[in-house]
Amino acid sequence: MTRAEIYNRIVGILVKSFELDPNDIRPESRLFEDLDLDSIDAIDMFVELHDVTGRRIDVQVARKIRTVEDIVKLVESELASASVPPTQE
Amino acid sequence: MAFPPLDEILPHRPPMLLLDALTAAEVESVTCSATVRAGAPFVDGERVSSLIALEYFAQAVAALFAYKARGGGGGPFRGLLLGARDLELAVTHLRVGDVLDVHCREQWASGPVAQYHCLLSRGDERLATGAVTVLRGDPAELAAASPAAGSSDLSSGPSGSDLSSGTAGGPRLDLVEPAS
Repeated sequence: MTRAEIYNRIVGILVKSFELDPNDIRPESRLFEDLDLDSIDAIDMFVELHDVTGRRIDVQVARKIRTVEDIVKLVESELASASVPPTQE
Repeated sequence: MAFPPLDEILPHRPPMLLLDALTAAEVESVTCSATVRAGAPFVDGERVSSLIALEYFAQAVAALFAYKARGGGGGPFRGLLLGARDLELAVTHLRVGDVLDVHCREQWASGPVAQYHCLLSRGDERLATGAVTVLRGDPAELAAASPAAGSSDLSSGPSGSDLSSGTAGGPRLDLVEPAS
């Protein structure tokens, strides 16, 4: 999945789940201040991201997220991790 | 397989213990039975609003917690219902005498936060579905573990920019670290 595809998928989740106007969403949009999400919304978003990445996002990682771009980077990272086979010991 | 009585594993007590029994359990899901009875909480005459499904769901999730804790899974016993999403009610009311199944399955969990997909059914008829989000653990203990009293992964203290919820004096759920 390309970065653009990831971004579009995230915008789709934000629009569908939180009834946001796609024109209001930009990479630099802050989830709390600009898009008016709260922590319960964030949980719903992480559930949706689980469907995208197939991986459970840890709360410690989630706490670092502030912007839409942060989510894109997180999904990129999760997808990259998912594609790396476990180390053989 | 015999399951423990719910009044042995849940903190709820009649009349607010709305579920009758735990009837099935897997690693991340449980099914409980419930019967709508005359005189029970929220029952008005011969019927009760189907919104009671939300409390059925919350108690089923609590049963899952308790059952896992009892099984040595280390699950917490208490929790806090944070909210519900995509709650769909196929009927407006349930009737006295209805025998129901309440099923919940973990969809996502990280640390103390989890979301469960829930289904209320009467035989093969789906009456209500939805996802409930919960905070796993004793709310008082989680609140006591806030930065004011020490350190906690849950709370990052007062901030105007974090993703936080909760009420004054209650546990906070901060998923984003405060801006430095």
